[in-house]
Amino acid sequence: MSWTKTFLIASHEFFARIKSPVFYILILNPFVGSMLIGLLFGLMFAGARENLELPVGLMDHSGLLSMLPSKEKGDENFLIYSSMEEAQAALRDRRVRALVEIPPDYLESGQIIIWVYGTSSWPTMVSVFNQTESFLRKTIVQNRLDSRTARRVIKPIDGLRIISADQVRELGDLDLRGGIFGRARAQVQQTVRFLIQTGARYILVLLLLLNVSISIMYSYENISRDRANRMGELMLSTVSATEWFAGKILGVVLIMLTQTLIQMTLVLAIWGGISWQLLGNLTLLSPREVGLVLVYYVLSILFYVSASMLAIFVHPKVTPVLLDILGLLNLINAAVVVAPSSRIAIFMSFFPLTAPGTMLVRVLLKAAPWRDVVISLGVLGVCSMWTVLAGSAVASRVLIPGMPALSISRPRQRR
Amino acid sequence: MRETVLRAEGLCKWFGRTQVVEDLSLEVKRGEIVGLLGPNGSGKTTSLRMMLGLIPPDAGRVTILGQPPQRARDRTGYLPEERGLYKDERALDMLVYVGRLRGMSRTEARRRALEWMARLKLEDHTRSKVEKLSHGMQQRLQFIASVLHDPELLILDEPFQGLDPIHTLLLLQILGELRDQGVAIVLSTHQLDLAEQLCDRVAMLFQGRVVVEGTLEEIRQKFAGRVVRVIAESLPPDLPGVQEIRSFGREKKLILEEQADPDSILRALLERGARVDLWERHALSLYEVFHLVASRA
Repeated sequence: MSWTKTFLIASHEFFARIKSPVFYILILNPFVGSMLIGLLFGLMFAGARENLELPVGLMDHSGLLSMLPSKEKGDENFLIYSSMEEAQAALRDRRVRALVEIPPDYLESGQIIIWVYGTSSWPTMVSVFNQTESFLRKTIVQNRLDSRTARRVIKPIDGLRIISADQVRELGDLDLRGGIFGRARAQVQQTVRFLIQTGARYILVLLLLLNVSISIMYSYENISRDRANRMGELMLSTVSATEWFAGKILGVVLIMLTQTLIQMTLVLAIWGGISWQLLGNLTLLSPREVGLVLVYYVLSILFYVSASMLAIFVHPKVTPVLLDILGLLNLINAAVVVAPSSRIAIFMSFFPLTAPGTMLVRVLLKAAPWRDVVISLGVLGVCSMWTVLAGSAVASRVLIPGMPALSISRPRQRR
Repeated sequence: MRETVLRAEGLCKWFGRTQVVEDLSLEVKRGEIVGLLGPNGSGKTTSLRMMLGLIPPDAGRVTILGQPPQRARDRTGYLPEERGLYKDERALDMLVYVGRLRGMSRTEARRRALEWMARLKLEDHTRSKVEKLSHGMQQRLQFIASVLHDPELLILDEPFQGLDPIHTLLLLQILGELRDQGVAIVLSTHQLDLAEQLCDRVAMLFQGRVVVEGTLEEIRQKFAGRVVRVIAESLPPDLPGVQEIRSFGREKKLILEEQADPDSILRALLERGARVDLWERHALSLYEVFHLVASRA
């Protein structure tokens, strides 16, 4: 096999593609999507910084504060109100950034209510939650409470009701544990920094898996172009089927890497810039994670491109179904974010058609132990070689006009 | 003795239950043009593809310069019947790309492409997109793609397709020059008059089998006396030794059976009182041989 010819085909594919306007449209689509998500985060953080300068209002219905001597009630983060009307007026007038309401049965239930404003509610809630939690813990300890209420020291907040200007959300204890929504909601317990880092990882998952889907489309276009232009005979009389097939795959990989690089640069420059402005230096991914993400991303494209080309080769009638299945499998990879360490996720990590995408998600969500990395890489290495060989074997049948495709089609009768 | 460039021995190909090529053997030497002739579906294209190694034969073997065809790709040029060029690319870029795939450097491929484009009167279209070119221009471009790298073996499937008479003559001249330079050429064509002008040897395929093979002289010799040109008032339909009568007004052509004696037939005709104004043995063109063979088969 001549690598020179393979690279020549790859570079030809690459330059032919980047001359096409479709390439730039496909760069911008996921980029705009990511930017919208980034913008949402940005707005939230912008609101957070603005509100963090204000104190939090506190309305105690439980009598917890009345048990304390007045000198110990004070806290620089909180303004204690004696009536709900007065407290709500303060929130309405933006004299406080949120209002914490401690219900009468707080010591038994551990439930509190946080009143916040519209879109800036989330980060505000995060900081209010943390501050309230430590305030309540301190207050309970200072009260020297009996055994009935001592457990509240360990878990000052056992449930949360958030009331915002435009919606009412209630989070129970279950919501603070596991699951995709629970995971997202559990961020309540984390800092804004953690929120940014996690958000960036989810955006990366979204962007990279979207690009893998686009690579399937590129492969289809690529083969269709050669078929439509009847290039098969000319190419296969010039290079071997393996050189041709490998060159095509490599071409799509180069295109996708370039596309992703441009997208990442744009996303990081703008979205990362906003985060930097707000929060200072942040390391979103460790070098090990960057390396593994890159490896799995390349493998994802490599494998999906090879598999989709093979799907195109099988038979024109079956091709759309196979391509849909591939797209669906890629979509299933995205669902791994729900439970990246579950048994299904581990199984998918070793199944050739889902392994690269699943592992990409698991690495980004910090749920990929070295054992799984090694096994999945081994599986993918072996399968990729077989795919390239299989693709080469059937290439001539598909590209040469008049030749029958694989055995599922009836041989063409001639004479 | 000239070196054998292409050797095909006992090639067979089946598509499903249909045998499309049956025991085809062919040898092409340096500086020789061999024509592969035959009606549609006779197996010409499949044979050429097997010779190039594009599709594997079910039986038999092919060598190009003593090697399997796959190892001689850079020494072989191929013009497929179906024009295969990227339509959205510029003509010169397309040729440079093909040249580079054949192992040429970019500079060399560009230089040779420009030379050939000038030779085939395409110099004004170097920057034109392939899709903007006429069929004839695309055919000439495709031809350049097959000869750009100075191949030792040139396989051309219907090279004159879509060419006007001027460019047909130009291509005939170029192919002649390539033959003189020692290039071995195999071509398939329906245009038998052109094959007659160009080919040193021909092989006629019918239903996958070679039915006639040899130099033009050998073939003419073989079929000499099989056709008689006659101008007569009327001809009885049941003349002994006559396979077929083709009528062109008063002029007729008699296709004789293989062992028939034209003189005996003339005698029989005169005995039956026919008035014969002209009776001459006809030198067969390739077209007529082809027709004869096809009708016999």
